[in-house]
Amino acid sequence: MGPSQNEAEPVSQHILFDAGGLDLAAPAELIKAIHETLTIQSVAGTRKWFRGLAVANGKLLPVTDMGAFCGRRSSSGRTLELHPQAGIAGLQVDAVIGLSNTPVSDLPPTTTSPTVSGDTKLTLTGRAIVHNERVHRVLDIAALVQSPAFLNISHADNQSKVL
Amino acid sequence: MPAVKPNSYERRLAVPFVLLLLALLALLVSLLGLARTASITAVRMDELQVSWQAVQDGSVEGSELVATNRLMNRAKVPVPAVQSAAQWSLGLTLVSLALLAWVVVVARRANRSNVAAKQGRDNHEQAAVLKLMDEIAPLASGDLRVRASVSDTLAGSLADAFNYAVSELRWLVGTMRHSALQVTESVERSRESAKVVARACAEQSGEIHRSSNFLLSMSGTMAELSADAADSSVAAQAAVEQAEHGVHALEASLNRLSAIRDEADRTTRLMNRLADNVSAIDDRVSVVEEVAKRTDLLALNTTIRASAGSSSSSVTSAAADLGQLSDEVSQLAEVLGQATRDIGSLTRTISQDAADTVQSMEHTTAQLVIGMEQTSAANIALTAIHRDSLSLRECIVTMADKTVKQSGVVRELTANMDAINRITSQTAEGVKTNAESLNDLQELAGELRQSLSDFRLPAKPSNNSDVPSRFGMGRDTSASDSGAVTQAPSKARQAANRAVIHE
Repeated sequence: MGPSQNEAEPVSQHILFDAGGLDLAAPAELIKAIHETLTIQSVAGTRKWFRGLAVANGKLLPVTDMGAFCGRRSSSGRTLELHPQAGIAGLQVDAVIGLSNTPVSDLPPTTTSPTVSGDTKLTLTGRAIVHNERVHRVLDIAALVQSPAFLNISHADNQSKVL
Repeated sequence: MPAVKPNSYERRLAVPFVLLLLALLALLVSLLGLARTASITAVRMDELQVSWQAVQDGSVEGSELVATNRLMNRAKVPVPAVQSAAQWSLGLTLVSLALLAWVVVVARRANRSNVAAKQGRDNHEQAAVLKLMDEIAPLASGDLRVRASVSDTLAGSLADAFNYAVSELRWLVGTMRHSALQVTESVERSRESAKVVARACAEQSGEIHRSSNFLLSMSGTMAELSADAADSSVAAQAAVEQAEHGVHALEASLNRLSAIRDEADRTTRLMNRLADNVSAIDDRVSVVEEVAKRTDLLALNTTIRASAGSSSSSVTSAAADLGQLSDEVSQLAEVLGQATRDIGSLTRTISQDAADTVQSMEHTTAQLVIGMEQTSAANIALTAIHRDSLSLRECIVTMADKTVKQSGVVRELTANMDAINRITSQTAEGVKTNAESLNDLQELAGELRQSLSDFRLPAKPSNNSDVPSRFGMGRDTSASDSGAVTQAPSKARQAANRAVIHE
């Protein structure tokens, strides 16, 4: 038996951030660290939203432009380093708003769906955190890092050549 | 003058008188020979006496006796001559006495005959004098054509001298007439020259009158110019005083502006320091913001790690994270403390600079107020200078107009002065001609004086002594000495020559 809606969910912390104009939120336990600046080395033959490879605390970290990945404008702010349990990846966002202890609730019905790419829609859950009258859609990190679209960083032309 | 012939009285007296003179001369020669012979005899006798004295002394030699004998012989020689001379003297004396008696007799006879002859001559002379007086009577009426008859009498001599005097008077009158004609001509020429000079003087007077009018007009214009110049001087003086005030005000304003510039420089330096400090504070604020970001990020990461550690991380990893976190916090605190100290120092400096800047700005404002007042005073002075300059320009324009008008008057005056100069030249020529005529007159007057100097005037009367009367002028009859008589013919000859030359 799954948890009912009326049951009180455990209070979890979420990190609120903005990427490409999208107000998003990610569970804090899936974020290892937040980096201010990273020296990113671009990799040829990859997609535009893939920024390249960086070194964080002596470890190799692939960085993905979250705004461009969502089909929006490119992001150029801090980088969220995912916990190794979720996957080795870094998400570059525009701004990290903060850590929120607000409970996660269902997405209000009046909320309009943002314009995002088709693959990104799969990673957005139906839940959200309202902070300062802004609705932050909770991002499914596990689904994201396991989605083929996120993992396939190769350029389309290069992919067709391989096929 | 004719020589006087010897009369019978003198002829009769001449023979016994000559004989008497010859007898007296012979007697004189005889007496001289007698005296000489006596003298020689005396000398011989003295020599003989000396020789005889020597013989008596007994010291005589033979030769001396011979010599004494010779002397005695010589002493005998003059004695006959003395006797002869004495005889001759006696005879001549007797002859002289006889001749003297003859002379006395002849003289007595001649004296009686001379008295009779003299009476006859006196009668004849009286008749000649009466005739002479009749002949010279027309001279009293000024007729110089009279001529006296000349005879061998004393009245004839007087008539000759009278004729000579009348001829001199004729020559003198002719010369005076000729000189009068020349004087008349010279006077006529002088009159003509005087007329020319008078006309020139009249014209010159007219020109001078015109020039005087021009000068009067010029004087009036010059007076107006002088008044305008005085007004210009007053306006210029006022402008100078206003300019001095303006200069003083500008100098003070310049000094104030210089002080304001110094204050502004100081304020600029303070503001630059403020800008530098603000920039430094900005840098420090950036550091603080960076620290804040890093702190925020550190807090997020710490929170994330804390939340992650509570679930699955090991104690060792948590301790390592805490150690790393402690180091980062320590570094952040150090950086933040340094930034805070810097900001505090900069804030104090900024506060001091701000206070100095405010003080400098207040001082600058005060200086600006004073400078504005002085600039206002300078502006007032410059306005007054402008007003005075406009007045001065009007005066100068008026003076220039009057000067232009005056230049025309000066040209007219120059032309008049040229005319006056020309007329003066003509006047000078007339004056020169007059001077030459006067020289001629002077020469003629000299000749007249020289002509009249040959005559001696009687004693000057008490009245009208400078004008000789017509008949008072003539040869002085008292000048009958030999010198006057000898000079008269030569002067008459010279007068005749001058008359010939004048004619």
